[in-house]
Amino acid sequence: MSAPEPPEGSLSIGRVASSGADETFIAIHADGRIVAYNGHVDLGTGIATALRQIVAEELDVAPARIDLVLGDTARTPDQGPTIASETIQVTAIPLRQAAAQARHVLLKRAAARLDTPVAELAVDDGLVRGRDNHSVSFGELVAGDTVRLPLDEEAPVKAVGSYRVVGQPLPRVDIPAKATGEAVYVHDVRVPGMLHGRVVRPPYAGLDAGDVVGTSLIAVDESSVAHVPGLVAVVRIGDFVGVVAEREENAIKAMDALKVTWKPTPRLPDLDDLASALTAHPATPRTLIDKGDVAAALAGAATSARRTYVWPYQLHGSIGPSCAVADVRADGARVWSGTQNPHWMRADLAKLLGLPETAIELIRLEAAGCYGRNCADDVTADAALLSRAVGRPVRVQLTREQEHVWEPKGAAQLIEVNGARDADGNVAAYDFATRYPSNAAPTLALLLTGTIPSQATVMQMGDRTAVPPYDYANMRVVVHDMAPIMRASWLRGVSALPNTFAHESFIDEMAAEAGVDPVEYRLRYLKDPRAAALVKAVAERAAWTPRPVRLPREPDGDIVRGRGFAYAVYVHGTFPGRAAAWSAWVADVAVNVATGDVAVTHVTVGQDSGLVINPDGVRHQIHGNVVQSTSRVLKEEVEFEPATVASREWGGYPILTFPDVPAIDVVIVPRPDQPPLGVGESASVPSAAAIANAVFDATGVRFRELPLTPERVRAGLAAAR
Amino acid sequence: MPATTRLSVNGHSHEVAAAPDTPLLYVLRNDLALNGPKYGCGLGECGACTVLIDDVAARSCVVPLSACAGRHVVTLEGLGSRAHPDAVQAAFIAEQAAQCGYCLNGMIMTVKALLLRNAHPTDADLRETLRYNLCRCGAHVEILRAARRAAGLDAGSDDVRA
Repeated sequence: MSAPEPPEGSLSIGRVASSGADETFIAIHADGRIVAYNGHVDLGTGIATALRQIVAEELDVAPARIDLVLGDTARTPDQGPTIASETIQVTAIPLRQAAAQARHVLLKRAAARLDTPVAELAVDDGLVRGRDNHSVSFGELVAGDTVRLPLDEEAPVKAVGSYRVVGQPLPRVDIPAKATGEAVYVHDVRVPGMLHGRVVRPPYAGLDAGDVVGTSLIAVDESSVAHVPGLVAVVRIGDFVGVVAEREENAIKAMDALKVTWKPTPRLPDLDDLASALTAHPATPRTLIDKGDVAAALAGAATSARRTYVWPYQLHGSIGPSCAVADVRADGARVWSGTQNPHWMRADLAKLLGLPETAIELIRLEAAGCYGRNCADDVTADAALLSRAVGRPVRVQLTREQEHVWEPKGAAQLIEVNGARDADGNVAAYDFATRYPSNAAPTLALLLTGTIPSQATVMQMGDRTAVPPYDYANMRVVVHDMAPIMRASWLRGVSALPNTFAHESFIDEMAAEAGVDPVEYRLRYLKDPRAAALVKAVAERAAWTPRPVRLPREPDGDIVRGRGFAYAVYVHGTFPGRAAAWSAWVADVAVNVATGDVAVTHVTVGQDSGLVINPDGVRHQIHGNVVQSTSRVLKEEVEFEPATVASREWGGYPILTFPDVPAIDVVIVPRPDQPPLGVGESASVPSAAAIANAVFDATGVRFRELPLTPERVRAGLAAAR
Repeated sequence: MPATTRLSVNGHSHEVAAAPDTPLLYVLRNDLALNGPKYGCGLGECGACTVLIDDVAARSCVVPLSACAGRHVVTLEGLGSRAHPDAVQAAFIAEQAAQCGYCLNGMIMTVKALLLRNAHPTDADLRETLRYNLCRCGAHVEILRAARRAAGLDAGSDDVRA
């Protein structure tokens, strides 16, 4: 905790965690400081602004008055990793309670001080006014006494109708400093005596399980870098290799020049044919739902349809390669990290360094957006090993190539649907199976040093939105849980995005074959009234005209245009999970039938996010999801060579650029009476199906494998001729 | 010690002791403690490290220190501060044109360089100029609005398209 400053006294509200740690959510100090604590971190999504709004609302202070501490292992509660769009939906709840509770305590004190009943007090930016315009500040109310109260989860919170700060647009608190170079990212940390490190990774890029991992280093020839000025150390521990130098450019020179001999690298599984690779990969089936009689319905149906959907490996692709600074001493360590999960990271470091967790302080700073698990943890551990080796603070940044080839990829996914229609065009059966080879991607240094065994673990994360939102009478959903093939972990939308690609492509196809407008057809099966309301709102905003039958398009030169719909609710967490915001898309595309180029020209995107904390923040997240997911759907696919990842820089992994950004029209469904929902990922989830359905509308061809590159589209159009 | 190189950064003259082939980026960041330019790719592909050299946008990760001798380098910090932002910075702040903000330096410096050579760009000019600046968060809509605002164009509704 920060040292007490005069005048003394404070009111803090917290809890004792299951670990025994004392955790504080809010502290109001006699000098007027109001400090709020949340265990999550701001990944560039604006939660630092929205959390301030929540606290400001309950306390009746200006948002700018609040100091917010995020994801600092010495100071903030352990609220788990910042994943699954859960900050506002989940981890903000105790913070809001604590702020409300603090306000009640302060008002009670003020009532006594001002001799005015609580009901007659008014609070204005931390100043409590009583009768005769007498007033007392929050700081004065806590002065002289240090009081700590346990969090009261029943403390009444404000009625939504009285909100003044929540629900209003508030500019992001961090942007002015970022626009002027005054912000300090983890990349910008400088500590006295700091050296620069770089790592040299093994040649089995992207493999994080199997016998070769941690056991492949034969020799390091230190004479190969003897010429590098200011070289401080060459470090090797198992397959972990790094260099440390006084100057950054010399650490880079040493990294490039170091001669390292490795054992031959095994061939990777053949990932050119993802469907075969995923089918052959060992898996354990897990049935999520088995309703009605799928087998009988399939056998008795008028028509049946077997469809296969293939999602490629993709990159998180943070613009800033991961970076960290560590200062490791014999009895403890301090690290500056851009991690998503400070407390997990600290546990990893404790294991790696053989130190107790309490001897490690992790300070979380902002980093480049990560969208899931990138190399932020890897580099933190790298910096710790290099600092320990040289006994000085060391900064390490990964190269673009290291980030590209070693980041835990967004996993490929294979979805097979065996469906059927009855004579009336209804979905008679829906038999859905999905394969998602991904896990939590253990921190690399733990594997390279042999600290943990290099065995692939299976995580049950293929089930996100695996159960469709549609109420089919005969339905079975099976997830084939599997370990990674290549190092892989969660990427925005996780398995829900590919699963939804299948659900929403399939229902679109059923509607077309039944001769029913695809929006109307969805509404037949959508029993959730909020979902149905959103679907209608988005269709209306986009001026959707019913299209029961696809009419062939008159091309404009080589260009044909089309429009597609998709809907999804992003479900995350352990099955059956919980739902974040609902989202629906209408995508307009222009397809060049000669070149195969697909342009997404306009997206109408609607979201039901419950209570909106900061409309600007929600809009930002929707825009970001639309642009990023459009990029993923049209362009992105990690390529592999027999023994490594072939996508090593942006030329080998193109992403969407400014000329190709679609126009975006956002519809926010007002639901101020409903709890706030996560908005970080939802608007990505309908993307792929909406775009693929629009391409069908334009061309009459269904694409069930992504990305929609010109080559794939040309081949698909040619095959259909 | 390596030979020294004299260059002007943000209006101040500096004598830097680093090898002549050192990328300008590391000199700016480590010797001059300027955090605006960021390492993004080291290949000149993404634009996160963009600075102005004699008023022209340059990717400091691939410009050797020796090429900067006697030239005038301006970084994000040299444009303005929170208290006194440059017009381009002010436009980006007004339009909230960042999510993580790691690419923001390159966006601002690239728009600044365009405006220095063309005071009246069109929306298409802005998109084309920013084509080789990569943003992964998808802040493109806000960035384009900011660029239009900085160029004196109507920032436009979200769905303005060239």
